[in-house]
Amino acid sequence: MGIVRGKIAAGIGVLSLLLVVCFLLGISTGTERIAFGTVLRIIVGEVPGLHHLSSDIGLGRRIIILDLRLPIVMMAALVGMGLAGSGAAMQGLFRNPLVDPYIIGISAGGAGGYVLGEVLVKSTDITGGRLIVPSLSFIGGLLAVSTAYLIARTGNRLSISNMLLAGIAISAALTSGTYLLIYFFVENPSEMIFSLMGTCGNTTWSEVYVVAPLIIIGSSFICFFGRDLNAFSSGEEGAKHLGVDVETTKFLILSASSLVAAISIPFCGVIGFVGLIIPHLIRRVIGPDHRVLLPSSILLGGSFLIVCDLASRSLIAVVIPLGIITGLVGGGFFIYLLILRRGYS
Amino acid sequence: MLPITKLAYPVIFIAMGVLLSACVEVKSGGDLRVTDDMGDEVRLDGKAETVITLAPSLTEMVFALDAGNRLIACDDASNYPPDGTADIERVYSYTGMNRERIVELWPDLILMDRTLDISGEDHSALIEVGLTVYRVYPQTFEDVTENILDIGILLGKEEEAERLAGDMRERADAVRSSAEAIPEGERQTVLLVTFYDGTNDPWVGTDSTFTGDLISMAGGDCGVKDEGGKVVQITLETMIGIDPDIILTSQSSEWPTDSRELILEDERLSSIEAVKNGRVYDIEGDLIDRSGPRIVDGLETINDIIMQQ
Repeated sequence: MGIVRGKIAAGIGVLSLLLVVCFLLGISTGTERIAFGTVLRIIVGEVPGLHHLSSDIGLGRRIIILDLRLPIVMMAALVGMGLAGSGAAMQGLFRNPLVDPYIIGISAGGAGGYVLGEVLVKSTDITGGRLIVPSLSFIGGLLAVSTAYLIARTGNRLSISNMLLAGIAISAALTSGTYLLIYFFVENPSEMIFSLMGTCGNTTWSEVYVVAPLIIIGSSFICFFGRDLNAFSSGEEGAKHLGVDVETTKFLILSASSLVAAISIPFCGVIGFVGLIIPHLIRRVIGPDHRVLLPSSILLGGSFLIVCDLASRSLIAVVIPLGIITGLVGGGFFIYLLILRRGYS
Repeated sequence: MLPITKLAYPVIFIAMGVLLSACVEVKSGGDLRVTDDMGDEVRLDGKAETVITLAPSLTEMVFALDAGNRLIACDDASNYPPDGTADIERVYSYTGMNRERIVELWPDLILMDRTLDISGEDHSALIEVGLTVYRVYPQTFEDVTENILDIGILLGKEEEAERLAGDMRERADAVRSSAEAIPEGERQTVLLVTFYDGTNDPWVGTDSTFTGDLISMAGGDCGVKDEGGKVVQITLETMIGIDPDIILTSQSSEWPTDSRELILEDERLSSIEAVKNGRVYDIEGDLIDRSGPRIVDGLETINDIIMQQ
């Protein structure tokens, strides 16, 4: 027990530090050159009582750091956390390392819900679009993954390969449906498609305020299921014998995972494969204990997406959509995993 | 019979001679030649009686040269003068060209803007079949007046063209001298925003665009330096960094935007001088990005805005 605690503490400590470093890196990079010292002073100057530290810095620079870069980096971190946490939880739940919110249909469902929401809000003039759109996105994600689950389950047995196949099929169908919606009902299709490609660019605080509580609460909630997910590793029967309320736990984990993965889509689009890569890396280094795996994945996911977002903003002069960067990295990683598995069998 | 035949020969010869000389005279007198902006020589046997324009700026030029009645077709975007352009057939839009219809109409002269045909595909498609095309590719105010003089020659409207170009140059000189009164180093930074929706990065004009030239002529300093000669997207960070004294939001009559309101209301842009001082102005896009005769109106408008402190 003591060893586990020590490991948790060490792992979490290192990863938290990494997150802070990535965070600082993120807010000191942009199209305007602002010295790192100035950036730090601007941030520290926001602490009550320390305002004098940044009072000599122009309003423009303070806005650049506090209102332009900070929400973008926060959003990237939150989305990365949500996706990685969701991936780690579902990989544990389905006892398969190939499961991830993107592959299993949550992203496609979320994207469908998002586009549907946008169309509804635009065409009916309902107020409160800010809440309706993300809610539909979450419901879409949850419906997609639940459908895949129901298709794959026969009696008490869940076929993982069927679950993956069902997820892929549902994703494909939903994506077509989404494009159909865009094709017929969206006024500016290219803009919508671009926003679906995944980007944290120009995130505002009001968006962070919606996403932050949901992802923080959802991710923390997932972390509480570490022990239960460990029990799942010996199969659902095994978990039942170990005293886990299997159905309730499954429902709760699935809902929380859908929430933290789908909620970001209306704000930053579909960002794939983060939920696949991150838990894998953590499992390699720290091991399969979900009590460590879950929080570590969440922390590393945040760092990873901040760095990807940086890359998307600064690799070339034009902003490359974030989803393309993670897709490239993730796709390569996925192929690597498949080759590795082939070696085992 | 014989004497008549004898008489007929010289008559026929003389008649042929007269006819031939008349032909030669028509040829040498009516052979109009100008070199267009792409370096191609454009020749016409006599002034163009039927014309097709493939850009709104060129349509405006033809009307300003009092040759609107020779226009048999034009592009989709041509909307000025409103009365004159309302009923003209459309054969060109940003999605494509109705080549078959143009060939069917077979105008004496086609006027096109290279900016709308960067690849040159449309141009080759017209040249290939033997049509006469004059292409403009103006980069500065001065280029526009040159275009007007050339087109004046092709339309047989030299006098009108010289009058129009002269008037434009005179008005431009007046603007220039008012701009020169501004001491070096006290020029205000002007940012031209062509589109901002409050969410995505704004599109702006750069110093290498046509509008960039207008801004510096009018006594301003174009905020965005870029050599591409195109409208570009800049981040809000860059916009705050440029900190323009004046922001011009270009408004098109067909696609009105609320860029101006969105800029003024955006908290994130509140540190910008132009926003703080309420110096964000809507400007009619057609006056500044159409390289036609009304460009001088655009120039004067920008100058007026810069001069009101």
